[in-house]
Amino acid sequence: MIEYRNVSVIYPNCIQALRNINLQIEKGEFVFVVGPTGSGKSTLLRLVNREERPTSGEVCVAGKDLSKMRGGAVPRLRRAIGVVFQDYRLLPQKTAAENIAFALFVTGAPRKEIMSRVIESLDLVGLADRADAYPHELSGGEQQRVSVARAIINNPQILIADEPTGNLDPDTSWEITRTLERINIRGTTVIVASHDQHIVDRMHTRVIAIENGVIKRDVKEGTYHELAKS
Amino acid sequence: MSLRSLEFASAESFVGIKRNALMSLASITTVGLTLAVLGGFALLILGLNNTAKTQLQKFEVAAFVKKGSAESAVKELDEKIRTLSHVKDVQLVTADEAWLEFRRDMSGSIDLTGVKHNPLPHTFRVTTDDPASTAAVAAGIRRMDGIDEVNEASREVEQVMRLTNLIKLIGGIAVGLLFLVTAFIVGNTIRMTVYARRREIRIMQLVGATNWFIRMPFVLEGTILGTIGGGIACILVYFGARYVSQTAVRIMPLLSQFTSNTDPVQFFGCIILMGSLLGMMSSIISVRRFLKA
Repeated sequence: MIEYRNVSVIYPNCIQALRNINLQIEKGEFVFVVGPTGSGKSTLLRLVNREERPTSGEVCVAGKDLSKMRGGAVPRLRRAIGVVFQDYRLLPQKTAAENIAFALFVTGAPRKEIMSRVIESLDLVGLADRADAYPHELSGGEQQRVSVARAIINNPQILIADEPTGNLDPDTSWEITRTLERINIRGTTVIVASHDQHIVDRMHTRVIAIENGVIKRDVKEGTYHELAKS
Repeated sequence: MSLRSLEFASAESFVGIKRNALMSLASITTVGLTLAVLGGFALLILGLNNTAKTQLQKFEVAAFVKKGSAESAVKELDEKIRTLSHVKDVQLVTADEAWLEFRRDMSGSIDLTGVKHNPLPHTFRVTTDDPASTAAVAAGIRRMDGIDEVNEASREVEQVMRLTNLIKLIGGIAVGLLFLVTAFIVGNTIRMTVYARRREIRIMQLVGATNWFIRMPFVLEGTILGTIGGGIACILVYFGARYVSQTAVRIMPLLSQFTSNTDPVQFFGCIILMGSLLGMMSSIISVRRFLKA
């Protein structure tokens, strides 16, 4: 599904974010990417939807080499990849439902279809009753759930979440993670960059640990802790 | 481009204009002024071209007979001119005919009731069979006795053309510079809208909106600003030209012969279209640089 071949990323300010990464993520996997701040987790994720391009090496998603992809084909790629951020990135002047609908609207989906899919998506994240609330009327956890609902509205093959629980309390974090797990069970490949030791340990899924742009550890049913030991 | 995305784009573009009203106003004003200057120059150039063609090329050589010449002398001159090589046709316009014609042309623009005596001489209008020989024919006539003055239309046309070219050059440079300034200001206005909406743009990019879908509201915003600016330029040119021509004719009545003979709908249509294009291109360039995915 996703393959990194000898990928290095060097930013214009000469900071090397990733060094010679080789990695494969299969369809339907749930993967945690862990590591300290500035280790290259976000860069690793941003390569998948071509927010970032490798300085050298190749990133292939669903068999397509992203560095060879024309700029005009990028929107189509992104419609197949949902994105969730630590800071939710909701539009403050739009309601929860409108925020979710916006993602479909800009891709030119028919109006009728938008309505039914927004409801379905809100249902999946357990926010059906908050559809008409504005972001400032929602708690952090609820806002993040709206952003998850927005990320999955296009039925993406891949969901990438960059520190989705970074601003949330442990209980809410767990809820969000469970929501991501539900999405994963439906067949979506989920990649989560996380700091949250508790969550990573509790999920007990594949863990990829990054430090200084290098993969230190890649364990099938891993925990956050081993990172401290190694 | 579906109807709905157009609907989205137009709604967003008006929001953008309202959001930075001051810069929008500045853009409209600069587009208006630039195109007004362009329009003014264009009108002047068209007028000069038209005058050169219609007024001066009626005949090629005009020979004025000395005042008080006898009729027989005039007849003799007529025959002598006909003997010159390359002369195709000679037409005598008597002083009386010329006076009548002049009064008819000037009616309405100059009051000639006070002029009792005909100030005009007899005139030969000479056509040649080859425009290149006009100068030689004129020189031949000039040497004849009884001829007061010879005017070569070709020389006058040439002079007017030279003036036109100079005005074209000056106008071209001025308008070129103004275009750059305008493109810069319109581009900056659009960039401010883009900046104000960078969150939305970011989200649109991440959920897979096409670049054109994202750009369209901004391009439309620039086009709207340009079109309004073009409209303002039309108003400025219309009233400006009217004022200038009225003043000029009052000072120099002969200038009433000076018309650009242009179709106003076409002319003003062109100005508005240029405004739209200027606004559109400025925003396309400015947004392109900003929205590299």
